[in-house]
Amino acid sequence: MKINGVHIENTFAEAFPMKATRLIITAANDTWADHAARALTGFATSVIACGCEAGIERTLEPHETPDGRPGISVLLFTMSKKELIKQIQNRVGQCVLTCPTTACYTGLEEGDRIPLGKNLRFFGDGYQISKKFGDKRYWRVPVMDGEFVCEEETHIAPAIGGGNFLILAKNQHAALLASEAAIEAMRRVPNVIMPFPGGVVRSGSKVGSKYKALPASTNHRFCPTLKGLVDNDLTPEVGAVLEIVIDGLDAKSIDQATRVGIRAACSVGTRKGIISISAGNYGGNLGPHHFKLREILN
Amino acid sequence: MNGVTLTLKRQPKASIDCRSLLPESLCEMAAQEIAELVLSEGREMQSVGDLFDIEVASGEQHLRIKGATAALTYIGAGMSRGRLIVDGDAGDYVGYDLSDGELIVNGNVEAFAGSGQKDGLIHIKGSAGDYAGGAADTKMQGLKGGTLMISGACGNYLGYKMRRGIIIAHDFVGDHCANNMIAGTIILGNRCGANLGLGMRRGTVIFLEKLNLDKIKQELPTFNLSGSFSLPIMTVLRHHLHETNHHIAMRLAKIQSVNRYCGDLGYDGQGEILVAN
Repeated sequence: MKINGVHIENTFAEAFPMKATRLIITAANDTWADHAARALTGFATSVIACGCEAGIERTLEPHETPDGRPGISVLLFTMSKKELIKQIQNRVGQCVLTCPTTACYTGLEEGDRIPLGKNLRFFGDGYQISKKFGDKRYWRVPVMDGEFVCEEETHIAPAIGGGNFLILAKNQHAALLASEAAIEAMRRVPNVIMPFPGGVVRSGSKVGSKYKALPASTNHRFCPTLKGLVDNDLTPEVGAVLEIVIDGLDAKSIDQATRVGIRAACSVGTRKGIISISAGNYGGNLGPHHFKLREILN
Repeated sequence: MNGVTLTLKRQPKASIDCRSLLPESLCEMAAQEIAELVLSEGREMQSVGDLFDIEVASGEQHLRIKGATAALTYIGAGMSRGRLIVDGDAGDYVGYDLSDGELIVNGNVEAFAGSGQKDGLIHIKGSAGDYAGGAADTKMQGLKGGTLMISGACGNYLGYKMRRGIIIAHDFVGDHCANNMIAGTIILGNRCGANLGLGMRRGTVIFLEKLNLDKIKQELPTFNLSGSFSLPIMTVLRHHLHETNHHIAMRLAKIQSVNRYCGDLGYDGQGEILVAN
């Protein structure tokens, strides 16, 4: 199978069940909503060492937010409900509560309830105000620029983490060009995030290491500088590989993100150095969700 | 489930306790079963069939009481679901301890409307007597949740010891509004009488009308002005009310900022009175 001359390998991405929530951060203007969202989703590329994977889903117009101000929706993914609760409390407490003019609300309406402002309210030292409108409770925590409004609870949704595809190119420049095109297209897909810097990861990993303390190490079979040294999955003309990892609230959204991402990457074309598209898996033994590239693209 | 209409046959000789006339039970009963229910009229017991013409029809599922007067007390008391419509006036304790559902009164009501209401909506399209949304008798709390909406004027002690929920009063409100208020939200579309917020512990009173600040200072000696603020929670409230009370939502939308008065400081209270700027 080829798209715009780019070979699509007959393989699949292997992904895992995760727990997720969506938060809506609002502020007096886009700039401050963006500051808070970027801080909250910072250092959240991989659950291996960050505790969670998080990213900005999209920006919201004032009419889409609970308080009629500009907003940003973010998605957070963890391996367990307990960890998600911890990450929300730490990240909202340190990155949103602290950010001027912001407020924070749930972006999901279904699923088990977990605390959002329920514990953060204690920062108000007894001066916090509860407001219950309908079945939703909000906390108004007095802060130095006015009030931090935070919904008491958010919801937890079953999600999928680790959807991915690999862009194999002649050189680093070509791989970057295709990755950037893919990410630009994928950011328009709802319910997904690409948690790595700029949405792209260069350090694809394999499970385990020769060093016993490490749970993961570099995926040497995809490292072009090791060609000729070890058994390799790369053809001679491949000079750089970049990976796009996708976390999503459902398989359909990951399918869609993968489809538009690969098509955008392929649109860069062979003439500019894109050779093939592959995906990372562990032989299908580790994760229950398999995203078969050719099926998705058909 | 049926639609049930009860039409009062005659003027009551004394107050009639209507707490057993609930949509969740009557809409599942046949006309004969409804007719055999017994209500107290003063000291006498009367069957529903003696007091009301009963009409049961399939279709819209609600209970409608026609020709109601202020002698009908406890209408919708303890109601937990469904829709109850009252055409005419109603007596004391309308929607007392109502836990869910929708109760609409197309007329005026006497005292203690919505006292102990836990959820749902009570809409009084006329005026309400004293203690609307207030604690009844020896109860410690008034309104506990849901929305109590009063289109007409209100008597004294609106929201007395109110604990949670929203009271919307479109027209003039009497003295002692939000007296000993514990928490919750009262939205006032017009002015109110003396002693607003006396003994207020927590909770919010919102004035949609712009008021004279000097006059407020005189009338609220135990409230201090915090300043003028644009509070995001006002928009959250507006969104919440958008579907149930579009008119109030539109008025909230016009408020850019509010003056915030804190009190009642005479009682170490942390309540707030927000006045449109």
